[in-house]
Amino acid sequence: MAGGGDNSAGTMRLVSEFAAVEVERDDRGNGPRLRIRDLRTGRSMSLDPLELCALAWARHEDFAPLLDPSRLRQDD
Amino acid sequence: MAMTLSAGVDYSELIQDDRINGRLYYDPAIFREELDKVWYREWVYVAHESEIPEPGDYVTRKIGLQPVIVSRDEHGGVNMLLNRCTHRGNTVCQAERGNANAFRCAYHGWTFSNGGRLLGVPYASGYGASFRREDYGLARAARMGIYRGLIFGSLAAEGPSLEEHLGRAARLIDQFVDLSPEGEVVARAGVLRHSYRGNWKMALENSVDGYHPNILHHAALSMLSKSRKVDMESVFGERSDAWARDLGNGSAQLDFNPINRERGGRMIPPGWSAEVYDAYLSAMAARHGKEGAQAIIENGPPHFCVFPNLICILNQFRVIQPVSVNETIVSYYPVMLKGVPDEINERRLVETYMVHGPAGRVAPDDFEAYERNQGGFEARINEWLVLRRGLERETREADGVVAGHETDETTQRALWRHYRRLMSN
Repeated sequence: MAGGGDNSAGTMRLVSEFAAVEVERDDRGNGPRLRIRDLRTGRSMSLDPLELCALAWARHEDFAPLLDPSRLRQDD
Repeated sequence: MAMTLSAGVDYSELIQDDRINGRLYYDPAIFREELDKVWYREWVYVAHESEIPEPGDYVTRKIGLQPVIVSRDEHGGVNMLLNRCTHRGNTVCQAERGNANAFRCAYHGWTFSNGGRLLGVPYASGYGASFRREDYGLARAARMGIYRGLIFGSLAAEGPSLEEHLGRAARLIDQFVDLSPEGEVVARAGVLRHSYRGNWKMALENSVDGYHPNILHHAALSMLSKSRKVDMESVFGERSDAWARDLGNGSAQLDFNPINRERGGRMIPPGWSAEVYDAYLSAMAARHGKEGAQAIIENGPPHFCVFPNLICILNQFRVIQPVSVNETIVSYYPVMLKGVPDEINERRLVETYMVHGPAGRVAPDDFEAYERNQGGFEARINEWLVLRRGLERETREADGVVAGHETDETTQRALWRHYRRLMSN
């Protein structure tokens, strides 16, 4: 059930069997950011251009700590 | 190590030089023994590299009944992982294909890299300080080998190498792939998938059966005879100049090269225009020289099977998947050639679904035959299948290969000899 799509408000959905997110430009602050929202839980955060640049330089293995589910739960 | 479940049969009694016993197709105990001695021991075709071109790409397949994930990690490496969470056994990936650099089990959230490493578990403090993630990575197939982009896996840590298993079939894989001017094929055109209520070995035998086409597929071949001005009796009948060959290790071939060459490479005319043919010849000549290109094109595509589950015919990979003793799934993957005019690949796609689609000219006949076979095996008074066609006119070629006429059962005898060796071990 992978896929996603665009809608007229400028959001883009990316869906895989493991997650569904929506991304959109966030102009609420003093500069532009990219807002990412987890459609399953409603959690979101906005990344600034420097953070995004760091992502462009990242390797997938750099995401291992972020993907560790023990980090996402209250105990740890 | 898992124990081998024995059916307690003498396979040399059930598989003789000129006949085999129907029990091989309906006995669930034999099917279970085949899982251990064939599917979990041999090299099994699993996927093609072109199906996972990008980092994060993965497909899910089966080796026998065991679910596997074939993934491309960020370093470009191919991984063959068992699709079983190391926690409590859920399948981790459900999609047939996808892109994910990490897999999260839906049951308890255990999360793995797409190379199989355990990245973490929810509420980790519950496992204590002695819990080591490195002990709980996804299991890997014992061995994996890739030949010309075809990915094979073996669940046995020891045994013949992939090169040894492929043997003479390797040069036929070359013949298939080298029809591309770039020496590469692409299997990204989707899949036609059918199931039948019959044993898996029927589809393998049928793929190299040159005896049945003019009879079972009479309607389709009569149509082809008229529309393409090819006398199918001279291709699939007694007058055929084609050969049936035992390639060794259970692999077998129907060699239509002599007929292809007679017709300048257009035995099954692909309907190319002169412009398309010239463009193709020119692209092939750039790699092989004009004469080399001519020879490859005139030989045409090969037609062969690699034991136990891969069939390469004309324009497709056909993959056999056993489900139970009397249920089998066959997947037809249209295979495109890199570097050819678009018309050629379009034609390959059309031919695949027109011949092997659900309303295809040929495949539905075969599946009907398999189910009638499985029904016929319920008759238990005389359980022998006669496999003596051509036994008295087989020849042995210079390199030791056993060869027979295209209509002979040389190919079926080849499969069963290898199977008997494996099952008697």
